[in-house]
Amino acid sequence: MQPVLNIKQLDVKFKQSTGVVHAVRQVTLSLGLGECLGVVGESGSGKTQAFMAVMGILEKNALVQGSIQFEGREILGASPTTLNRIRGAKLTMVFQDPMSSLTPHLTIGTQMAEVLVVHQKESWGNAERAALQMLDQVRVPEAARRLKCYPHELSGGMRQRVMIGMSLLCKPSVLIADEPTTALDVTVQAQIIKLLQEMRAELGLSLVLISHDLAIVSGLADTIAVMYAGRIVEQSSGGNIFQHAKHPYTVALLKCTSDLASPRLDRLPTLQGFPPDLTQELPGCDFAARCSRASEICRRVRPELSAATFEYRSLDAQSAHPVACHHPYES
Amino acid sequence: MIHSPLLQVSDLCVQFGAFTAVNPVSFDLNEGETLGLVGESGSGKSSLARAILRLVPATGVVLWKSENILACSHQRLRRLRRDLSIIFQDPLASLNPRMQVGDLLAEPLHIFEPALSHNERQRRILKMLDRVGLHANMLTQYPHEFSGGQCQRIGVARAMMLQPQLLVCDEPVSSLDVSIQGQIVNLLVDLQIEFNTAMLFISHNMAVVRHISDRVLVMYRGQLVESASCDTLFAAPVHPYTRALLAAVPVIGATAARPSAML
Repeated sequence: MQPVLNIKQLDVKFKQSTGVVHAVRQVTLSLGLGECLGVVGESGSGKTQAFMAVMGILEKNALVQGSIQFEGREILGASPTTLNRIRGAKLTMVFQDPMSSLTPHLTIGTQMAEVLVVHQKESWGNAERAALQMLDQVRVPEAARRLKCYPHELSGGMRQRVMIGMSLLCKPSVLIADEPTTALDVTVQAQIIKLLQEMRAELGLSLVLISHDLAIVSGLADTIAVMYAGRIVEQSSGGNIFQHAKHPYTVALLKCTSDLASPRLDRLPTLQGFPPDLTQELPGCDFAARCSRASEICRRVRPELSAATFEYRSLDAQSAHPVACHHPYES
Repeated sequence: MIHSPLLQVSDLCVQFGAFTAVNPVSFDLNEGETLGLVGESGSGKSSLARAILRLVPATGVVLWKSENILACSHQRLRRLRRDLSIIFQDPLASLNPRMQVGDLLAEPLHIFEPALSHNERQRRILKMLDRVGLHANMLTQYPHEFSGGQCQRIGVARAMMLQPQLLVCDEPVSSLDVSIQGQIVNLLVDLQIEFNTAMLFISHNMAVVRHISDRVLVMYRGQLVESASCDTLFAAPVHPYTRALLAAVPVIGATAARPSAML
């Protein structure tokens, strides 16, 4: 079966006065129908830039290379007309800050209806009825009243529900959620994650969940890709990566993600040092400078992702667990 | 020997127009103690913290070493603020973008210790910069040149410059990466022990609150709904809201958000 989204050897570079920032490096990922892919990494790891490239919404100084296939069609380098037919309809994205993603001077109803008027040539009346139905579906209480509200009249959690509802109006096959809960409270965060899960089941949606929080991704994702300095360093099935993390970076990240189940410690575990400068190309492993297992070879030779392509359907727990490391932890 | 608390808050109310942000709230804070304050957005955590420092209008009594902060003269208030400090959530927005790091750190000294010689001031600034893990060559840089974690270190350095007796931390790690959060929390704990500073630590990150607090207050819709020692609160939460809050915390490796956690 064809994956619905297939990214191959994606490279994203930004030209700046200080040099060329190589933000995404040789990223290969695929997303199956109805599947949820989690992408995890620190700020600056390239996780957002990779999917902004998929949406074709990067800044003008970006140079994108590689291949991005959506439903079997190459969309990298496609014309704006072609992209506009797909974006917001079949391929949608929800961002971290629900306030700045909504237009402040239009009511929720108008903004939502507009999506259908533009993409499906619906009449405003029909579009507004569909918007109302969608607000109900994303569990917005008193939906009819909220349609007449402006974004600032809603709480952060409600706004994020509206964003998710808006992105689902044209029945997309892929929803990319970029840190959808980072700006929200713990309790609201749990509600939004639950909503995404329900929408996935109800609509057969394929989901990309981008986050820096492993605990959040772990609740939803079938497969998880860990990114560091623009590269995928480890990829595995969702549950597997937590019990059997192989890359020292993943292990360190897991240690930092304290939850209430772990014992109370004297000091919180931290990750020392900084990610590398992305304008430079290091000969060896990007993580070597911060890694406790690094040896001489790590600084000299770049470790390749052990299985170059990750077949999402062949998720045999142990066999499909590529890792880019010379000294991985044994699971 | 019985110590009277450093800070005694009684019947503190914050009202914005017709909206009541904080209903009568009372609690104590002892010297060197860390009090966690949790609750969802809009529950009144920040309003409470700001009211204590008299940054927003409030009614009630805030006794700081038996002096009412809410009733003292502005002159007196300025003097008291030497010992009261605050760190905000957004590290970049809370630093003046047009000031170099050196000037940002010198400002509290200029205001509260104007008699200090130039050399002594520089010595104190460099010592604090080193203490929070930043390099001396960063003194002439501007806030936008730093990462979020580094900006928060500058914020911590500025807040601790005068070795305050009370530090209010309003979501100090919420906008930072998981890997950086631990560094900032550890730094706060180290400085707190060194200066014997009492802390009011606001966060919705329950794991961090559990780590840092001696006691925890839970707020819901402007009211204190539970107050307990840290261990008691996390082991045996009593109020239904506290239970829901704890149940909503994601657990690594758990396969789904649990419906019981929904509010």
